[in-house]
Amino acid sequence: MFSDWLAWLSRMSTEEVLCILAPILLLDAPRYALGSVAVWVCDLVGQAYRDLTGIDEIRFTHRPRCCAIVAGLNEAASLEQALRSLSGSYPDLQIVVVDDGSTDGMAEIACEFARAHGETTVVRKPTRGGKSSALNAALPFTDAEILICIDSDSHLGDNAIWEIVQPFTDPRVAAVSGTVLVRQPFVNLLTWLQASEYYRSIFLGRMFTSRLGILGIVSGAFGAYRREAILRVGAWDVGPGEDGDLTIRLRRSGYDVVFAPYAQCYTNPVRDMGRLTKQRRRWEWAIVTLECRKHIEMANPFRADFRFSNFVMILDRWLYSIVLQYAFALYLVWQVFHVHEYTGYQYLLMYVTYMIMESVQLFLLMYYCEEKQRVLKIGTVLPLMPLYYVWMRFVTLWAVSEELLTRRSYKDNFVPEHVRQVTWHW
Amino acid sequence: MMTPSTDRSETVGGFEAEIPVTAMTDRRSMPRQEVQQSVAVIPVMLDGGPGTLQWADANLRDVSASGLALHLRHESQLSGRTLVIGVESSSGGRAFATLRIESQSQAADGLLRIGGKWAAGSNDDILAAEKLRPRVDPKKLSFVYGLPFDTLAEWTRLGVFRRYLVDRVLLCDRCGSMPSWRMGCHVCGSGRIHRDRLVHHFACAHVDRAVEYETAEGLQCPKCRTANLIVGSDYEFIDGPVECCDCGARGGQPTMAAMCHRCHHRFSMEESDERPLYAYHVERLDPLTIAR
Repeated sequence: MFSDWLAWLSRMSTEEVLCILAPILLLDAPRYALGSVAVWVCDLVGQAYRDLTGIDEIRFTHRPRCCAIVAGLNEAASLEQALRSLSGSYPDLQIVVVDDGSTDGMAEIACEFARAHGETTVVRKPTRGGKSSALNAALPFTDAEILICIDSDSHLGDNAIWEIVQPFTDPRVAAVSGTVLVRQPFVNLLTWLQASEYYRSIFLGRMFTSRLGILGIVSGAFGAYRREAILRVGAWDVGPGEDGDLTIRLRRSGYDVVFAPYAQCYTNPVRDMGRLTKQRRRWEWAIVTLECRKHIEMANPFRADFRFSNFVMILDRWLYSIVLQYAFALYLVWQVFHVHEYTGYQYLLMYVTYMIMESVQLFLLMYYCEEKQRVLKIGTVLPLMPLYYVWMRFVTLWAVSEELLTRRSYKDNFVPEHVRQVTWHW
Repeated sequence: MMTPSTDRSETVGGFEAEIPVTAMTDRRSMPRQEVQQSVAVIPVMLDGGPGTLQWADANLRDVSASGLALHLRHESQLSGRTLVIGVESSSGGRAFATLRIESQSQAADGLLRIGGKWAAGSNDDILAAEKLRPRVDPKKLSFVYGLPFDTLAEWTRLGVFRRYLVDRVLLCDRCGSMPSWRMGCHVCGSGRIHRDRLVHHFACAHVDRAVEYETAEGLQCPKCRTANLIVGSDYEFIDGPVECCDCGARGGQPTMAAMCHRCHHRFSMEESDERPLYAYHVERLDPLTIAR
C-alpha cells in the first residue's frame, strides 16, 4: 500500500500536492510550526550576537516581594507536595493557602504546614465559592508586589519563581505565564499524549505568541501577576475561564502579558477520556464567553482602549478556535460526498505532513528544553499526535457549538450553583 | 472503762513498747488494742523534713482510732512536735500516719515513752493530701506545695512519698512563672489583635473588607456597584486577616502565644520552658488496721 501511495504521490504535480495540503500549509503550518521555527532562528541569531560580543545574559536580577497563592478544593492529598516545592524556593516568599470549603481536611493539612512554616497563612472559606473567589480571598492577606498563583495539585520545578518574576522588571508587564507540564506522563496513553501536547502548545506555542505580543492566556495552574495591576482591573471574575478573563482585562487596560518558558510547573493530567473531554470543553467554552461576548469590544478599532495586538489576539482565537473548527467539519462533510479512490492517499499525505510538522517541533523542543531525555521519551508518542489533535478538534467543535447555542458554561458545576444563579451570564 | 493490762509488757528486737502510764481519758474512752508490729518512727523536724529513721519491731499497745502510745529506745527527747509512723501494710507496702506528740518522757531504762494523737485533719499532718498536691500561688504565679520542694524530695527518698506526674506545664522561659496563654499576634505575641471581617460578593467574586462595602444606603459592592446586598443570597462573610495593634503585623490566623505577667515577657509555645508537674502520694495508715 505504501508503494502505491508513493507511486500516487510521484504522479502528482507540485501544484496538486500543494492544493491538497493548502489548508495545512496556509493555516496550521504558520501557526504551529513555522512560528516556532521563526522564534528559533531569532534566538540563534541572538545567541550568535551574544557569543560574538561576549555579553553574557544574567538570568536573575530582579527580586520583588512575592506571595504564592495556593487555592484549592479537596486537594488534601497533593497539597503538601505543592507547599514543599514552594517553601524556601524564593527569599521571603509568603504563602497563602485558600481552602475553598473543602471537606477532605485540606485546611488541616495547610494549618499543620503553617505551624512549621511561619510564612504560610491559611484562609478558610466557609462554603465553596469557586476558584475566582478563592483567589480573591487571598488578596487581603498579602501586600506583596507579585502574586503567584499555583494550583494545589501542582508542584514547581527548579528556580520556577525566580524565572517567573524576571519579566516584571518591565513596568508594563502585568502578568507572566509559566510553563505547565505533565507531572506523570507515562501513566497511560492519554497522559502521554497530554504531556506531548503541553510541551507543544504551552512551551513552544506560548513562546511564539509571547514574542508576537499576542499572548492572551496565563495558566491558572501557574502564573504571576502584578498586584497593583490586578487590583486596578478588579481581580478575578467568576469563571469558568477566570484566568483567561483576567489576562484579557489586563491587556485591555494597557498592560503586557508575557511568557517565561523556564518557569516550569508540573501538574497532574486527567487520566480518562471523559474527564479530559470535560476539561477541554470548559477551556473552549471560555473562548466563546470571553472573546465572542464579554470582550468582543477588543475588535472595535473606534474604542479608546483599542490595541492592535489585542485585535490580532482576538482574531487568532476566532480563526483557530472557531472558524477553522467549523471549516474542518465542513471539509469532512464535503469529503463524504466526494469520496474517490485516492481519498485515503490524500489523508495519508496530510498525516505525513503533520508528522513532519510534529518532528520539527520535537527538534525545537530538544533545542530549548533542559530535560532532553524526558522530552525525547515523551516525543515517541509523536505518530499518534495527529489523531489526538483530530479528536481535540471535534471536542472544540462540540464545546464551541454548545456554548454559542446554549451558554452551557453557566450550567457547569465548576462554579457553585449559588454563584451561577447570581452572576452575569455573558 | 477499759483498764490497761500492765503484765503484758515485752521487749522485741531491742525496742520495748509498753502501755503508757499517763492517763489519757479521751483515748481511754475508746477501744484500745495491743499489737506487735514493725513500725518506722520518723521524727518530723521543725522545717518539716524527716529526722533520723527509727525502724524496729515493737509491741504496740494502746492503739486506738485517736492515738497511740509508743516506747522507743532513744537517749533524749525528740525536738519536733510530730512523728510519722510507718507500718507494713497488708499489700506489702508501707502505710504512714502522722502522730502529734502529746507527751514524752525519758525513763530510767533508756526508753523514751511517747504518747500522741493521730494528726489527720489537722495542720500538723504533713501527710495531708493538700500539702502534697501542686496548687497555684496567685502571688508568685507559680505552682507551690504545702512543703518546700527539697523537703518533699527528702521524704520521697525515704520512701514515704511516691512522686507521680500530674501534668506538663509551659512556663516563662525567663522567670519560670506561669504565663497566660491566649491567641495573639504571630509576630510579637501581643494579645491586642483585631480581626477584619471580609465580604465575598457571589456575583462578581469580589472579596474585600466589610467596611469597604458599607454605604449610607446599605451594602454595595465596591467592584461591580451592585447595591442592597442580602447576606446569604448575595454575599457571605469570611474571616479576614488579623492585624496586631502593637506591631502592625498582618496574618491569616493568630497563634497561641504567652504573656508572663510577672516579667512581661511574650513568647511562643516553642520558646516556653516545658516542665513536668508532679504530685506526691502517700499510702495513708488506717490506725484500725494495726489493731486488726
